[in-house]
Amino acid sequence: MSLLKYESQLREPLVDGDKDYHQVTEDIVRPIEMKPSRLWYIGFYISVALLLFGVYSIYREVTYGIGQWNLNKTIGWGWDITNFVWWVGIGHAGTLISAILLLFRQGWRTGVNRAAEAMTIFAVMCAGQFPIWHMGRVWMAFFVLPYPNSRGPLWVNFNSPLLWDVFAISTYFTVSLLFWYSGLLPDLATVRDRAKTKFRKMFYGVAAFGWTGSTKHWQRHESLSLVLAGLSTPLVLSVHTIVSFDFATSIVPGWHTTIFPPYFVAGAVFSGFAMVQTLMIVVRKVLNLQDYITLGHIEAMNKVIVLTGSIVGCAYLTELFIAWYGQNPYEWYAFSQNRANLFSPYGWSYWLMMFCNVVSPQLFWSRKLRRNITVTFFMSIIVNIGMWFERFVIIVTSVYRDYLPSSWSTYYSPSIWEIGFYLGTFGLFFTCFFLFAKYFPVIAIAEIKSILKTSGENYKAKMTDIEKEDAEKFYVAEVEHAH
Amino acid sequence: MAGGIKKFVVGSFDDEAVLFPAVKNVRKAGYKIHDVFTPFPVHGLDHAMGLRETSLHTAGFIYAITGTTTALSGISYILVHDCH
Repeated sequence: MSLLKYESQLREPLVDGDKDYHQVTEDIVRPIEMKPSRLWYIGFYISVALLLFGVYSIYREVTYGIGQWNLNKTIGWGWDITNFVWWVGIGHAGTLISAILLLFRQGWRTGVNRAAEAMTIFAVMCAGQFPIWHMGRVWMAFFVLPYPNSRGPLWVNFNSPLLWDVFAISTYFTVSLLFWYSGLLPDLATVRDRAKTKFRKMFYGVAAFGWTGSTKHWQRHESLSLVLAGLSTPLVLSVHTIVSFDFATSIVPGWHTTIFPPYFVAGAVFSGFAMVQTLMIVVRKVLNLQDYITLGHIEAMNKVIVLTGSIVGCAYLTELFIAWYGQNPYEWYAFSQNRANLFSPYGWSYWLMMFCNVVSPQLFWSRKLRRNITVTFFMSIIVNIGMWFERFVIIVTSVYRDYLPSSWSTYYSPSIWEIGFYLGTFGLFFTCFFLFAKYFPVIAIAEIKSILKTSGENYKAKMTDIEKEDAEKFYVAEVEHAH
Repeated sequence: MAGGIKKFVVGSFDDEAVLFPAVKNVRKAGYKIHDVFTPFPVHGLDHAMGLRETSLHTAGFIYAITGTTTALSGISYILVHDCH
C-alpha cells in the first residue's frame, strides 16, 4: 500500500494526540450533543442582557434623535463610526483565513477557519448597525438603494464612498455567509446522522440541505469553495479600502491622505486576528479542543499579528512624517497638536494607540512569547483596545478642531446611550457566538479529516520510520551503484 | 440478470488508500460504480470514478459578466443620461 500523502517532518503536526477519523468526529461533535454547561448559560445570559440594553439605547436614539448621543456640530462622527470601522476590521481575519489562506494552501487554517468565518459574519452584522442607526431617520434607509423612484428621480451618488460602503459591506456579508454555510453543510450532515432525537434529526436534516457525502457532492463543494475563495480574496482588500475612502476622499486634515487604504487593510487584519485569538483561546479551553487548535495555530496567528502590527506602525510613522514634510500647516497642526501633543485634550488616545498597536506586538518576535497562551490572550485584548483607539484618534482628533476656531469643540465624551449601543453590539456578537458554539461544529470536521493523514501527530510519527527506512535503502542503493 | 433484477454490491472501506485502487480495479473490471460516499473530500476520486468536471466555474463566470455589465450600464445610464 502506498502512502497517498506526505508532509515534511519539519512542520509541526496540526492535530495533536492519537486520532483517527472517528475520534475527530467524537471530539468536535461532543459539545453539541451535551447539555450546555453552567458557564455557557452565564455567558449567554450576560450577552442577551447587553443586547437588550443595546436595543433600548437604539430605541432612545430613534425616538429622540441623534442628540441622545453626545455628538455636536463639530464632532458629527464619534463613537458610532469608530465602532463601525472597528467591527468591520474585526471581520477581516475570517475572510483572510478562509479565502487567502485557502488559495495559498495553508493547512493550519483548517483548525480555525470555521469559527473565524462565524466571527466575520457576526462582526459585520454588528458593524452594519452603526451607519444604519446613525442615519437618524432610519425609516428612510431604503434611500441608499439605487432604483428608479418618484423622488425626482433622485439617484444615489455613485461618486460617494459612503454608497460604495453600502455595496461593499452587503457584498462582503453575503459572500462570507455563503462561504461559511456551504462549508458547514457536510458537518451539519454529520451531526444529523448522529442525532438521536426526532427534533435534532429534523433540525440538522433541514440545515444540511440533504447532504450525503457522495463524490459528486464533494466535487461540487470543492469547486464552489474555490469560486467563493476567489470572490472573497479581493473583498479582503476592497472592503476596508472603501471604508478608508470615507475619510481619505475628504479634505479634513488628518484624513486627507493616500496611504489610508493599505493602512486600513493591514489594521483590519491585525485587529481581526487579535479577536480570533481572544475567542479561540477561550473556545479551545472550554470545549476541550486543544488538540485541534494547537500552540502551532496560536503561534501562526501571532506571526500575522506581529507582521500586520508592524505594517500599521510603519503607516503611523509615515503619515506623521509626511504631515511634517508636506508643510501644510493644517495637516501638521492636526498631527503635532491634536494628536502627538500629549497635553492636548485627546493626546492621550494617540499615545495609547501607539503603545497598543506598535510597541506591544513587538513582543511577538520572541518564539517563547508567541507560544505563551496567557501572554497571547492578554495581547489580543491590548490590540483590540489599541485598534479601537486608532479609529477614535482618526475620527475625533481630526474633526474636533476644524478650520474655524470659534467652532472648536469642547471636550467630547460619549453619552450613556452611545456607550449602550456599543455594548449592545457586543451583546449581539456574543449571543450569536454562544449559539454558534453550542449548535454548530466550531471546527470544520471534514477539513480536519482531510489533513489528518498528512498533519496528524500520530500519522507523522509513523512517517518518521518510513522516512528513515527509505533513506537507508536509498543510501545502500547509491553505495552499491557507485561500486 | 434474469427478469430485469438489478444486482448491487456494496463495499465499505475505512481507509482512502485502500478505496482508491479498489475504485480503479472495479472500473477496470467493467463494473459501473453507482456512487462513492466519503465523510471528507478525497482528492482525485471524481477522476478515478470518471465523473464529469462541473461547469460551475463557467456558470459563475457568465453570472459575473452579466452582473458587471448590468452594474456598469446602470451607473453609466444614471450618471450620463438621466441627469437633469
